[in-house]
Amino acid sequence: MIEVVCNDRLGKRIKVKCLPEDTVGDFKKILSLQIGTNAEKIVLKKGYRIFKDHITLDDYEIHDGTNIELYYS
Amino acid sequence: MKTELSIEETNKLRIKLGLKPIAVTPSESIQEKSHHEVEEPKKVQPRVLKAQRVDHGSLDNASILEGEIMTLKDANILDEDQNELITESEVLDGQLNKKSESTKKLHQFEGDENENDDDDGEEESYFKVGEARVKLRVNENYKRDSKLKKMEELAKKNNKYVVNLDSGEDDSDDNDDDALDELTMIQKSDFSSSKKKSKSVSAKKFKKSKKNKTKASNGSTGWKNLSDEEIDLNQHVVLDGESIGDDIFDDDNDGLQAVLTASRLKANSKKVKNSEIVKKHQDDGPKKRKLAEVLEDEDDQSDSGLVIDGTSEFLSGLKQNILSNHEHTNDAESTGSQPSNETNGTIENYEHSSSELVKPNGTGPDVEEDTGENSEEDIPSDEPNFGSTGLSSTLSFLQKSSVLKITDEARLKERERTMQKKLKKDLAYMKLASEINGDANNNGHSSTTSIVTEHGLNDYNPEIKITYTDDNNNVLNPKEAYKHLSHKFHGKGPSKQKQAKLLLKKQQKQLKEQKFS
Repeated sequence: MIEVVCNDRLGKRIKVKCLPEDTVGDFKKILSLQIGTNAEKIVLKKGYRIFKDHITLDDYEIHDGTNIELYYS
Repeated sequence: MKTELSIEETNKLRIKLGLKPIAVTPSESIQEKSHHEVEEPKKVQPRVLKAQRVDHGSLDNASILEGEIMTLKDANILDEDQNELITESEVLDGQLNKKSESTKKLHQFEGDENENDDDDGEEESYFKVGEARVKLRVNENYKRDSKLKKMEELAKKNNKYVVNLDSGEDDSDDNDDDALDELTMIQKSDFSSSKKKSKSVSAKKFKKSKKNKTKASNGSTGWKNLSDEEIDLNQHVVLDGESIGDDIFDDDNDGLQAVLTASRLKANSKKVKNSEIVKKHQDDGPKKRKLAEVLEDEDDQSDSGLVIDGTSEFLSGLKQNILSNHEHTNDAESTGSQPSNETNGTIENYEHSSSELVKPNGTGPDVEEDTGENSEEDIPSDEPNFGSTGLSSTLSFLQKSSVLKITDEARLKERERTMQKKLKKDLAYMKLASEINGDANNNGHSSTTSIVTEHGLNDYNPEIKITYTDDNNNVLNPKEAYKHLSHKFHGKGPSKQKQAKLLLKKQQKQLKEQKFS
């Protein structure tokens, strides 16, 4: 189990508990339930890299305590 | 705003979404609990000092004023008692007392020194014997001068050392005869014992010239004795050295000489063997003379200090074997019915033997002639090059002595190999070869393709059809397949309108096909 921090820099800073085998799409779904926004409208970034839904967190080397930028499309 | 869900809540959500729940380990739950505990604000408890004993030794309760500061009393580290509290004033008093005591001590020490300095004509010297500080005082105006003089005289007569020792702390008074401890160290007339004792009295320090003189005189007498004795000792030592040291050297030399003689004997035996062989073969003919010469040269080389290696020994062994073989063959031939070629000597015999070894069936006159010609040609090449002890020389020697047989095929192969090696080193040739190979490949006549056609084309099936299919098992052409793959890879699909269009097209196609069919 890992905890990933999502920050939208608008006042929301959410800690999401997930597994490294989860895809970004699954992660978005959990996050959407926590925030209350639609998962399809969530865009996760790290730097200029947009995380794609079908790739796992482990593949993106997202570990325990990593910060991810949260955007809304 | 920071929001966080517990594992149980996230698990509920995950189950709702159809995801695998997170396994809760006890360590994680403990961590969570501890995390929550840490987040709780800590209650600051006032620090309560444990009850400590208050030292009332010097103070009364009444004397302790209000608002007076209490401090801990100095104590040993090893003390296991409770800490004691004292007022600061007490501490200050104690410090002052200590200082005063130390100053008093200092004054006392300085005062003593001053007192001593005031006395003219006194010379003092200190030295330490163990922990006690001993003061050695020599005073010309001392009352007991006469006593001392008497003692000195006695010492001169009997070789006695007189030491006047006085403890440093008790030297405050000059008039006390009882306070002084006189030590007289009687030196025995025997020098050896006196030398031992003088070591124990090495700390003595005489500043008085008289005493020095006495000591010098004693020393001189002692030295005289010493010199006499030393000479004797030296004589003893020299004698011992001669007797013992020579014995040791002799033993070593004997051992060395034994080893050397053994080695010499070995070398001589070898030489004898060689010389015997030489003598034997000197009579046989010019061929063997040459060999003998070579052997003699070798002997000379060995005399000049050449190191005999394993290879050289091996070669020498080979030589001996071969020579013995030759002897055998010669003997056989001499006993046989061919004593004709005596003029040519053993060379031809040797050649005969070699030819017989190679071709045992060739026993005609023509063959003999041929072999004779060959032998004449090969005489210089047949000579083994014993000067060089390399592999090539040994191999050539073995080949020529028919120990090793090399067939024509092997020779050809060797030549090819050597040629290829040489050509590989030549860059221009390699370039040409590569160009030629390239042309051959373009034409489809390369060696590799030929091999493939020979072996691999039996199972080769050129009619391969690759069919790309969709998720719905729709057949895709290569372009569509690539699009599909890229969509999958990037996680983006075509828009809904495009998908609808494609569906329409497919349906129309199917309808057309049905109509035609």
